[in-house]
Amino acid sequence: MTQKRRKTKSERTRRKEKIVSFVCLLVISVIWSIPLLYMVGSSFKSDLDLQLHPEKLFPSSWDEWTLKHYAGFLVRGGQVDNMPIWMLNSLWSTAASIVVTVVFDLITAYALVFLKFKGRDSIIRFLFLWMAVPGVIGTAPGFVIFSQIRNALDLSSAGTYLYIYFWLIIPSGTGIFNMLLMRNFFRSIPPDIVDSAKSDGAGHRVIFRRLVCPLARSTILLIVLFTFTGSWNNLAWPQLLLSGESSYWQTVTVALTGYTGGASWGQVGVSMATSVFSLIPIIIIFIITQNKMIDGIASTGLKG
Amino acid sequence: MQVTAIDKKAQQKRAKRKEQLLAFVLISPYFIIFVLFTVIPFVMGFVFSFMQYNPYMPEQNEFIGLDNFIEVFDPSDPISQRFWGSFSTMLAFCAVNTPLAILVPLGLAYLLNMHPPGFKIFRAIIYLPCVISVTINGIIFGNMFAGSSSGLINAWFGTEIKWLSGLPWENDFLRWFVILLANVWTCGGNFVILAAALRDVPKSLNEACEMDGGNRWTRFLYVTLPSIKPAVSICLFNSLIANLNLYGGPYVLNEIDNESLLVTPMMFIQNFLMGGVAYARQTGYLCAAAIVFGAIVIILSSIERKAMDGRKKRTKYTEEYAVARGNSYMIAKEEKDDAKEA
Amino acid sequence: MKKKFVSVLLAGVLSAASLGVFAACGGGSDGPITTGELKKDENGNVIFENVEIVCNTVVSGTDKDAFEQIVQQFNIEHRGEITVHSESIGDGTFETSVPQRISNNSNAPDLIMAHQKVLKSFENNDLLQPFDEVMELSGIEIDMEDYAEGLAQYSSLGEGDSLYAVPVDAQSMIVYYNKAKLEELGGKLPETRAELITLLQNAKDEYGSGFWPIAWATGNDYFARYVFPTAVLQNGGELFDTESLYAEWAEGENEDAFKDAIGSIRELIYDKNFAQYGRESVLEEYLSDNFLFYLTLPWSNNEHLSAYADEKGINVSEVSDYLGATSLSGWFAMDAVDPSANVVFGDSHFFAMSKTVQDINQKAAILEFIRYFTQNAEIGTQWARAGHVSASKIVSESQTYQSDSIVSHYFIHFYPDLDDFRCMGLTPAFKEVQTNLNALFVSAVGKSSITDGTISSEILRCQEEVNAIVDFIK
Repeated sequence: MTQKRRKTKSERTRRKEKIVSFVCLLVISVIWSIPLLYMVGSSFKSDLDLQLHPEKLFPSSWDEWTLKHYAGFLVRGGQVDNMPIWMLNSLWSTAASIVVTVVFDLITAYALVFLKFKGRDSIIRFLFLWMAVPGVIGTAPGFVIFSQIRNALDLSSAGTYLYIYFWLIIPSGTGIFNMLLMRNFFRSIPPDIVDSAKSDGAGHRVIFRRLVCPLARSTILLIVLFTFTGSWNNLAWPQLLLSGESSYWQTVTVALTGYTGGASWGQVGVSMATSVFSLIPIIIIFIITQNKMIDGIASTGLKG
Repeated sequence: MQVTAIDKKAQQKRAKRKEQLLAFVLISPYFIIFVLFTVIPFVMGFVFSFMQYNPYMPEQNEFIGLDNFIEVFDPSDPISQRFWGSFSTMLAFCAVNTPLAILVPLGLAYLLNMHPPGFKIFRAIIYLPCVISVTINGIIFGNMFAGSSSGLINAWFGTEIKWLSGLPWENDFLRWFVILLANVWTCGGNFVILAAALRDVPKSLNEACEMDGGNRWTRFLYVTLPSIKPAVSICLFNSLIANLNLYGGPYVLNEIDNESLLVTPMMFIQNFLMGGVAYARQTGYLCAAAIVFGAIVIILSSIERKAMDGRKKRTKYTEEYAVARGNSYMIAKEEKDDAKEA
Repeated sequence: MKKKFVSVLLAGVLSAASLGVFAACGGGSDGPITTGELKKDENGNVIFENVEIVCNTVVSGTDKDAFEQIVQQFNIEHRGEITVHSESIGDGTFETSVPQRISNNSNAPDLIMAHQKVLKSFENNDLLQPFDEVMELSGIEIDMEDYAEGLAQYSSLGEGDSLYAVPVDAQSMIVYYNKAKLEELGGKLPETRAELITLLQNAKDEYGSGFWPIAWATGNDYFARYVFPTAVLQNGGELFDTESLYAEWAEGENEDAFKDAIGSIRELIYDKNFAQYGRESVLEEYLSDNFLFYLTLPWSNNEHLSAYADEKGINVSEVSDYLGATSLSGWFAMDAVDPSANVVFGDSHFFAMSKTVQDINQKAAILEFIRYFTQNAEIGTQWARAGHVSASKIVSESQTYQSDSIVSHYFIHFYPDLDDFRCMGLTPAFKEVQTNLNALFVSAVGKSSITDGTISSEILRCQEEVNAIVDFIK
């Protein structure tokens, strides 16, 4: 006859651990979410409510919920304003940035890890060093080059739009952090796998496509998230390039700054609403890539 | 047909050259764009630091050699004093923030590693804030900690603490506290790296330590910490670079009472370089200051990396030890079970 | 292979360096040019044919809509003649992006509408051109006699007699007063500080010591930005020396002016308990009629009126029965006969022309638009309703302007005499002057008890901060 086995000591401690950690993490998570809840709640509070009842996370009563702040930048004169156009601008330029970054990172990291050539190590060291360089020096000269080429080219309206976005998308592919992330991952691939593929006669193209890329899936997802966030939230450079151009050309982040300047009345509500709105796409991507991606950070973060 | 040694060598050489050519082709798109869009503007800025440069009045520009750099290092120049003052603020902040940026995520990851139910949700919640842009962060925390009773925190506690105001070294501590809080809130990146590292600590080592009579604390000290050292090193590097370049947080979390806008070197540089046409005449000097700053960051981060690589901590709990111990443990367990069933 | 790679890299860096040197030294700036010819009709008025101009304005937020409406109206009235394209650039990027675009001629605007304080820096860096030539050629005259004195004095931007910038409007702190309470206290608005103090004391006696007759939010950015300099100027102070650009706050008479200003505010807050320090919003008091005077900003005038109307359950047009308008004129002047006792300090928008405009038709079109904006009574009234009182006498003395309900009930009283309006003036260090005035305000007025010695040292400290930057950027 089998009796119910008494739990071993380690099993009991494990169960205690689970309960303790659950309680602690629950409390911490609640506190952790307060700022976000505050942001969302304030975006629905009316201006008066914001000033009179600042202690409440959410609007004080059911009728105080208002969409006025959102309507401010979404609707004008009964029609949907330019937001869809701005969304399109942001989405396509972000998608293009992601593609550019991922492609660049894949092929360059592959070369840096799997191909031997002279100067490889100095390039890596150079990249590491460059991370510490203050990029702010290059902003104004970059704009000078941008303008000189633009004046030399004498483009049409559509051409100018593409030219401006070219300058937004292409440089974003050269982020060093993402490159090093990819390189780290490639280095963590056990060399035996690659060697055995090589001895089976596989050329670099095959190794790249069939072997390395599929393995890198979680790292790629990680880079997708970082690039998406970086490109979507990018403010300074797009603001400079798009300043003074037709407002149809702006990205969401740049356009939303136009609603938060100036008047001090209702500042809080509008800023919260614009922040929530610009966070929505990021949260969507985050939810989609979440699990895979976090596992990805885990494995690439370790080596080197 | 004889394959001579010379032929073989030639073949190898050709293969090697082919490999180098392929490598060159593969890395060139990235590097061409990098040089064109990043390096060249930077080099231009670098050149400006040796000149009296005003982008709007090119006829006034002239090459003045190291004068700008001398001015940066001149202790009697009030602006340079401000520049170096911002360094001390930043280093102080670094010293406080970096440990926090590692310990807090470590603690959270440790809790998470105990696998409570719903741990994936916890993980997502803790990670989420780090994808939020710094500007939004500033808006949220700025409004939560607003000085008078209209801020959330003050309203909750019924206080009127001026969180975000303060003269330097007086009430400024409160403001730095808020900045620290905001920074810790976005520690998601480090958190996840450390969580995964903790998960990968070999169980066998833990059991070996346990058998040696170790409790939770010694297990942590002698097994966990050394195993996650690479992860900690990465987090340290990332946090260090982020803190040295600290700009966004203090800039947004500022209220009118606070005049210490120029508290980190990055803020100092950004404030003047991107501050508008009034400062245009001093572009050369500002570029020089930025170069000096960059050099210091490079030096500091190289020191950090050397420090982390150099130390090789020896502990009793290496893989081989665990295997040996584990074997004896298994034998002992079997004997015990046999005795039970008998 | 390594040698080849390194040499390629070296070549790249060298060419970049030479590019840098070239861009830095070469290409001298050319002065503004005039091309093209004007067509005139038999009366000598300019005929415009499909002229397009681009305007960049610093106005953003809700005012932006009002501005764009005016632009639209102009375009409709001048269809086929002139079209104005207006883009609103936020305050933060205006000072960086517009100069860069003008100097690189990359989508540069033709006309800019900016705060007066930044225009001196624009002019220092050769970004603007004067209107003199085009006024002569086109016959469209803009006479500074028609504009408020205090603002028109900056129109030359320090360049002799040339006209570089045209004032448009003025904004500073506005004051509502509670009509019912004022009636109970005698019904007379104070004209000097002595009268103000008497009135406020009566209010406290009448409504109890827990009543704060003045409801103001010192925690709001703009309070220190507008009210403190007003106090300084009303006491005869000077923000900086117009010749040397240095701040002389701790020197002689100027120091007395500063101390008087600080003292006058402190007296209202700490000695007499007429007002509070540190509030960020006093909306509660406003909505519950718990005030005699309420200070706020002009561009939220409409929202304030609506909120008040909602609270009372009345029509917005009836609010003027309950609320009146007055200004800070004379409030802080310790010496009522000081010539500058009635000065009000604030911001002002000016129009200026970028140096990149070459076609004379465009220049004339710019003049035409400026004249429309600042001399057309209807337009001036519209703009005033959005919170920007007109700086032009042609508008402010017109029937339309004076009979408009919002303007006549409120704005005319917010700024009683436009000739007494002042703004920052001609200094490139305007940001530092502003910041340090803020800092001085906080340190000198923030504490409930402070010694005279501390005030002096604070004034000196803030002055030195300003002067350090003046040295830096002169």
